[in-house]
Formats: sequence, structure tokens, C-alpha cells
Amino acid sequence: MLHIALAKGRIAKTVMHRLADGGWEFPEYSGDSRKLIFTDASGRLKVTLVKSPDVAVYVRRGAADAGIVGKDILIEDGADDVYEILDLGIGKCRMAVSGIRGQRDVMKKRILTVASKYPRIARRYFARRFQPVDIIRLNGSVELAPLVGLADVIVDIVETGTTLRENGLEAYDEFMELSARLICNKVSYKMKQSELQDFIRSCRFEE
Amino acid sequence: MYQTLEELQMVHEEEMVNYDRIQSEVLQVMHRHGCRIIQTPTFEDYDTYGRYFPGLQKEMVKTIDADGSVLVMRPDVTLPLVKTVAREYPDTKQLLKFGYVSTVFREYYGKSTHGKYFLQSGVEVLGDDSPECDGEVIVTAAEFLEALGISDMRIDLGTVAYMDALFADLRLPPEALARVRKELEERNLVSLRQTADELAVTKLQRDVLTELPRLFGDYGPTMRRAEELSLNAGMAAALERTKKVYGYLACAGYEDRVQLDLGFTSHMGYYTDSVFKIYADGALYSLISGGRYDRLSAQFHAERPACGFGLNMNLLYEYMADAGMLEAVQPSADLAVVYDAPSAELIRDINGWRKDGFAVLGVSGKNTVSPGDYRLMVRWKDGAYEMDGRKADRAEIDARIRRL
Repeated sequence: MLHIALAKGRIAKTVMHRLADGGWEFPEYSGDSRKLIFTDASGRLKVTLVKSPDVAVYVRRGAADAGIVGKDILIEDGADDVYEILDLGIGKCRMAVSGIRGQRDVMKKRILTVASKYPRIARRYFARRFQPVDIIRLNGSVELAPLVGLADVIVDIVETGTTLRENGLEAYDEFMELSARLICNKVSYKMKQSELQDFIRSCRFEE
Repeated sequence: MYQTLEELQMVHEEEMVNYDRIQSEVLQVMHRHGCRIIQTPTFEDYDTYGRYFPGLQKEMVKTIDADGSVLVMRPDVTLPLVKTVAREYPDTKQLLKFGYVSTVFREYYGKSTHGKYFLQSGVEVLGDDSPECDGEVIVTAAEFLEALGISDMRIDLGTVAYMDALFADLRLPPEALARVRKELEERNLVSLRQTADELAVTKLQRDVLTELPRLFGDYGPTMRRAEELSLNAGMAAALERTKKVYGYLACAGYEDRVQLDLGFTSHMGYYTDSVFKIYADGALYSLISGGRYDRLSAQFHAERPACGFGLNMNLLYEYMADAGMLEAVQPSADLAVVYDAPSAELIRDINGWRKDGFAVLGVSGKNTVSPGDYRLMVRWKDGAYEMDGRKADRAEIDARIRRL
């Protein structure tokens, strides 16, 4: 049996849809259920829903054979000791520096205050520009930070830009293309190669 | 206040017993193969490791010597061994076989265990560059596991010479080569494809390159596929040599457990030819990993081929615990004597039993003793023994413990 860990939320929903279209039946799954482990009717595939930063941990330690998670998380938290085998082309978005609309000049400040859920990515971005920064790690609703004066800019993912617009913000620089990736445990990659290929095919993920 | 450091904990009796047994089994295998058992120093020079294994620098445990120099705690066994041999054994043709069981200070991750150091056992064979030597090293590794009752295993055999011969043809600039090697090592298929598209190589070379991470599986079909993809004499020679290693393994009876994997990378240029990993059925990590490293010794001014492997015994322990292969703890004492007031006679008896070879606990009535710690308990009360709730003399107790 192939065991896949999915990042809860958007990615899990999309993948579960694809699986259903590909003929996999999960009798116990529904979008709003609180259950976290599902086995398909044929007993060949097991799916676990975990928080996105935990996907790589499950896979690395072999608690799951493979996992699906956004590239943003893989870059931010690191994904040592797992294989990144496929760009699934779903959950596409960009990482961007954003701030209050029309106030782009704030980027020229001597020391910039940056709020982000992605402190590592943010630090690396500004380090490459030799820009001294003070990074504030937030856990959600990052858009608030410039509005209440907590930070000059934010580094966050942008999908359609609606959230930014509605909060009077705009993207100053979109600097990284992101999408969901299929990662795999190093041993499972070999031991379960054929199951893995079946899974990839049935979800119509192109290789 | 006391702070408990994560990942540092006492080794308890049941673990000591089982580690002892595991260790003695692997030592016997080493002896059967004619290995000399050695131990390298606990401390090593930081700069030496920094030079040969820059990738390990962060991971190593550093410590400061009395004179202010930085030392590391044994990050591996191979490097100091090869270095010592280069100095002490001038005849590079001499066949040298070494075995060891040592604590190695590097992080490791199992399924539910994680630590800052682990017990490693391994074998290094120096002086022999033949494919048969590789075969014998792999057989020794497999016998380590078999000696412990693990016969459901899978041996993944590969050679980095195949990949290196491809690189020799590609003539990539150093940065591009480093990037491709890293992507191959991580089997990052996504970025390897992107990188390959940007390289100045032929379409055929590109296809072979991107196929490498997936060039594994059953020996026969994978070998045929690798032969089809072979683009030069170096790649073909690497495959011919691998066939000989496989031939040795087949003769030794491991044919059905060997799989081929030509996606193995040389790990910072350390491995030069055969590489292998051994997995136990059901474990999602390799227990044993090894290969041929013919160029390391030259760094110490002695050209000497070498091949070896290491087994992470902490991972092995986790695997055996999960598989129910460990032995339960036995009581530490045969007899527990509980007394209210000691007497000369009691003290003589207790020491007498010990001289006769029994394990005896003398327990003052003020203390408690766990029932799992003894096989038989007697009481010493008012100058006489009580066993099973009635009076008993020394001869009766003797007879009973002899029957335990």
C-alpha cells in the first residue's frame, strides 16, 4: 500500500478531487470531515492529512512514502533527505514583496521592517540585495502588518492578488514561482516505484 | 537547575544486553573474514575533516583542547584509518582487512529515534582493487544482518564510475557540474530536468542524464537498459566491472536479493566505483552503506585501493525492536535475601552463594525490591530463613536456586 501525506487545505482538496476523477474511492472522505486518515476502497492507497510544514517530516522519517506540499514550504523549512520527484503544476502562485499601494519608495529605507510567515525566504531575498532588514515572523494575516505600522513590507505568497487589493496593498516584486511538488521517501522511491507511477498516472500528473 | 539535553539519554540494561549480543555477532563475522579489530581515536583534528569532508563541517561535534585547538569527536572511522595505514603500512600491495565497532558522533534519524551519535560497525579492506573484493565486502555486510536473524534484505548495487564517465564526456563548467551532481544526489527530478535543458549537451546526453535518477530496478532489465544508454567506453567498462561484482554475489547465493541502481552518486567525490546500500525488509532507511574509495589514500601520499561499509547499529536496534527481535531482560539476580537485621551468618551465606556463582541481592528491610529483579526471594528473620512463607534451611535454598 502506498501512503501519501497531503498538506491540509487547498492542496489536499485539489488532490482529493483528482484522485476521485482518477477512479480512487475514499468512502470516508468529505471536504469538511475532521478525519485525518483515509484508505481507498481497494486498499491500495492511504492518504493522511497533515499541516503543510509537517509533510516533509513524515516523508523523511518514513511515516509516509510520499507527500504533496507547496514548494514555498519546501524552501522555507528545507527538505533534506527526501526526493522531489515531480512538479504537479497545481496550487500555482508566486512569492512576492508587497506593501501599501503607491508607496514603493519604502523599499529604499535604510533598514526595512519585513513581516512574513517565511522568515528564511525573506532573509535570503533581502540578503541578495544587500538590504539590511528586521524580520518579524508572523503566523497568519500577514497583510495586516503594513496597515497597522508593524512592518514596512511583507513577504508572502500571492495567488490572484485579491487579498492584497482588498487590503489596499500591491505586490512590489514577484520573485519566485511556486507550485505543489510530489516528494518521496528515499527508500519508498525504489521499493514502491511501480505503485508510485500508478498513482502519478491515475491523478493525471504529467511526468 | 538541571537541564535534560535532548537526544542524550542513558543506555539501560535491556539495551546494553541487546547491544552486547548484536556487537558480538558482528564481531564474529569480522573474525571469520580475517579482519583485525581496531579503534580509531575519539578526537580528531578539525581541519583535516574540514578539508576532506567540507559537507560534514556543520554536523560535526567540536570541542576545544587544553591548548586551544579545535578538535572534533570521531565523525567517521574510515578517514583516520586510511591516514594511519598510509603511515604505518608502507607496502601498498599488502592485503589489509580491518573491522570496528565504534561510537560515531553524527546525527542520525530513524523512524522514531533520533540522536547526535550512534554506534557504527564496519569493515574496510585495503590494498585490493578487484571486483571480487567488492563482492566480498558486500557479502560481509549481508552476513552482519544474517548473523542477527535478518535474512529479508535487499542489496542495491551501483557504480558511480558509470555516471562519472558520462560527466567526463559532457565537459561541464565546474559550477554546472556541481549543480547537476547535487540534483542527482537529491534525485530532484524537477530541477534536474530544468538544468539539463540549459546545458550545452547533445539531446542524447541530456536524455541519459535525466534518466540516471530512475535507472534502478531488477538486475537483468536495468543492466540491459544501462547498456543501451551507455555512451562511451568508460561507461561500458563501469558496467563490465559491475557484472563481475554481481557474479561474485550470485556465486555467494545473494542473486535474488540484489537490485541495480545506477543513480547512486559519489558523495562529495569520495566513492570511485562500486557503491551499495542494504535495506532490511520493512525499514524505510538503509541500515548499511558502503563502496569503493580508491582515491582517498592518495591524499595521504600512498596510492592504495580500498572498499568498505558501515552499519548504523542504532538504526538496526530500532528495526529489531520494531520487528520483535530483541531479547527480553532477565532478572539481574537469582536470589534476593531480605533481612531486618544483618548477622554474621547471613553475610557469610550471601557471599558463599556468590562464590558458588549465583547472583545475589542483599536487601535491607528498609528498602524495596522489584519482583522483576530476582528469580527467588527468601527472608532472613530472627536468625533463620523463610522461603514461600515457611522456615527453610540453607540446604533447601541451595537446592532450589540450583534448579532455577
